[in-house]
Amino acid sequence: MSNIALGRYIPLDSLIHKLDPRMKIIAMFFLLIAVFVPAGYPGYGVLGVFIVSVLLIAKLRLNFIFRAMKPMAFMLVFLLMINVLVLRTGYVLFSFYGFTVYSDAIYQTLYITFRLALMIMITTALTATTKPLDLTLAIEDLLGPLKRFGVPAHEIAMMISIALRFIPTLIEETQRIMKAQASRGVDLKEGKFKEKIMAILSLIVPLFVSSFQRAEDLADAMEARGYVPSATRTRYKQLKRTLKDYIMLFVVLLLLGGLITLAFVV
Amino acid sequence: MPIAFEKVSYTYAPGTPFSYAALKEVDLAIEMGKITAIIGPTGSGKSTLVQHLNALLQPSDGQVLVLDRIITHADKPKQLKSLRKNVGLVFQFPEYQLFEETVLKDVMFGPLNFGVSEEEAKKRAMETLTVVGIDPSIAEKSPLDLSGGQKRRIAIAGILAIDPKVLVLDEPTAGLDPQGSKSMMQLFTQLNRQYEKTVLIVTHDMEHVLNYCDNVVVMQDGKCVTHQTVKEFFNDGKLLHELNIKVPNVLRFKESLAKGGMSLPEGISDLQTLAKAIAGRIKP
Amino acid sequence: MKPIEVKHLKFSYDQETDVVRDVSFSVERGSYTTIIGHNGSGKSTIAKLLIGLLEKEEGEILIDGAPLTLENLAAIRSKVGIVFQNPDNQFIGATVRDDIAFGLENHNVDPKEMDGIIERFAQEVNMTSYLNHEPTRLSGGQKQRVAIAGVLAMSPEILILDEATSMLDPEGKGDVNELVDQLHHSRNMTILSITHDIEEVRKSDHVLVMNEGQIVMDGDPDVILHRYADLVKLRLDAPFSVKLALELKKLGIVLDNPMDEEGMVDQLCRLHLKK
Repeated sequence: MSNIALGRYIPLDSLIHKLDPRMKIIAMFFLLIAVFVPAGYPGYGVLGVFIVSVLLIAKLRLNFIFRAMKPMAFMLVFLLMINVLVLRTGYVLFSFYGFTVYSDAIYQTLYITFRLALMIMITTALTATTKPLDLTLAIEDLLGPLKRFGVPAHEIAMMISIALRFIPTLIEETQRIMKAQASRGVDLKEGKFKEKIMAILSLIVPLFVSSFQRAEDLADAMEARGYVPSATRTRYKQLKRTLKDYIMLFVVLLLLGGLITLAFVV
Repeated sequence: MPIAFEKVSYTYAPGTPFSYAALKEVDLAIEMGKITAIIGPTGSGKSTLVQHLNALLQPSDGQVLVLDRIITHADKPKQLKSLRKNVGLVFQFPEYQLFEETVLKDVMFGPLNFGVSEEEAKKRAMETLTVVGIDPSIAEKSPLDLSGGQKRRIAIAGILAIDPKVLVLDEPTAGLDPQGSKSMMQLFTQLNRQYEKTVLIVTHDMEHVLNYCDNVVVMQDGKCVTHQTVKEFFNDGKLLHELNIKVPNVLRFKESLAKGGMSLPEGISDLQTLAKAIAGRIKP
Repeated sequence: MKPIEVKHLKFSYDQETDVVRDVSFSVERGSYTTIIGHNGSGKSTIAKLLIGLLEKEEGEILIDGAPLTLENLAAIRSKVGIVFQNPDNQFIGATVRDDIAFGLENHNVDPKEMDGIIERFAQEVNMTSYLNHEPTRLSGGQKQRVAIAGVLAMSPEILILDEATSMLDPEGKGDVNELVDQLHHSRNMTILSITHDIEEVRKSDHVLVMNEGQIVMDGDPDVILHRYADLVKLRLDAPFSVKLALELKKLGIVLDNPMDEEGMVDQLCRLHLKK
């Protein structure tokens, strides 16, 4: 579990960590749009430099970012193969066994690789510097205007935050049940197909039973403490925008504007 | 000695910031054919210790001898089935491991996994259900519909049906009412006396240690600080005080009497004997 | 006006077997009442009925004289706080601080005042240094203390404990019991505790014994805990001193007050010296 780098919060003390999560989400959206502005390699260069500096300001180590990108490697190799097979434009780079590789195939693949890398870096810059709980609060706030149209913004946020709260508990529970069933001779690695099905059932059924029990208990506890989903309630964690947040968003918009100019005007 | 820990250390999540040494060079030999209590505060390593007995955890360092096996860090988790067949481990709140449609099927699950025939598994299941005090008439019911106490007995039957030589139980009476825990402890005594199982019980209840166990292991901060017979243990007032152990009622009462000038002989551990001893002193 | 008054309460989950049948009792203001009974005797159902988590079939529940109805549920829940059995399943916030805040948010407390309230009650349950800790890093006893802080922050008059210590180790049990005693004495809170702990029953003011959904004994713990034969029939236990006195009685030694262990030791030692 601890090897997953993508989407993980890294508790550090930096300027980026302190920014308002709502503004960070908005900025992330603008930056994602910027990735798709066709400003060519110079544009990606500018964007790349910007995001790497953000990550450095956030005190994140760059090898952490590389780890976050690892799961994409397989996809990129696959993409390269497809491109080599399909794209037959540009000049001939080399050929082997009667098979010709054109420059556009490489060019295209590199292009997509850059885009993907940028997108991962942008989202990582958000998730690594923002507590999951703050993210849910921000999502609740940002979805707020949609309440009018029946979007249950508060309920969604509450669901996400409870899910986050119970993930460690459920992991612990799963490990406990796995050990208990291992003591009864369950072997997830070996055995025939039917045995494997039984092994999986012996984990899932108890996990479901106990999760339902927990859910019921939790609902009781929440209700007993006066929680009514539809009622108005105040919020302990107040999100605050400061001048820094506006400056950050301004810089991002400036960058986006610059890239658009580069792409369409120059 | 068939069960022994030799300089066993265990570290959770080694090499990470969360790394935690749960066992530190534990040396310990468990006497076969007895009931051994494992006591100590929460976080002292009791649960980690017992999980080594059927290789759910493998020592980070040192080795564990269980019956004819030696478990070390290097031992690949293969051929572990033969070990787990001989050492049955019942976790805390085992009622949560029930999953089959019927009580009978659930109890048969373990034996079937260990290669016992369907027929034999069924026979064993019916027998063990009777041993743990479950009426065979509910064998076809869903285990999920039964009371908490019944579920726990069925879960224990599920381990017993594997017919292990050693039975290890992690806080088997947690959450039970007083009569429920009393009859649970009596069941373990029966399993030990009548079926000759070696029993290890992780517990916080000193009354249970005094009334039902032969030996006691005290864990503290990942180390085994003492291992002796229950009799010796509860006679060592200084040690009990040092380890901050709550003295069982009978012994506490005896101590109070001694302070008031009535000293009774050693070795009294139950209510009846205490009452008789008192009567013997008061009545001519 | 009594803080809790229950009259002819009836409840069943499936309309066939009554889990609670014709239960009546009342709790005095500022008293410490315990409810005992073997597992499945209907104790916990009573607790859930009292705070309206289950709806009664028949009978009446009065909290501070006001009948519990759907309309005044919110008002009643702010008067009655409850701590449940499983410490894991009632911890809602991501940290101790957030968990205490949860109830305050529900009661529309001004966020500016929350920090002050949270810190005050964290201090009362002695958890100040854990305010930013996540639940996985707390012991069972600590989680229950947080649950109590969360309840206290809503300033209820009545605290119900539904086997709140039964899943805790002795240390956690001791901590929580001590805290409840302190609340009972210093705040004069009305306590209703469902428990298996005979020591807790002994020090309470009033005990209700449940069996098969009914209250079968109701009164002074000193009197009820004395009735060993009846308690055993109900699958319950009696204090050690009561059991010893009974054994001694069989041997012809009759003592004055077997509920008082110290007094018992004195009496026996005197008898011993006289001989």
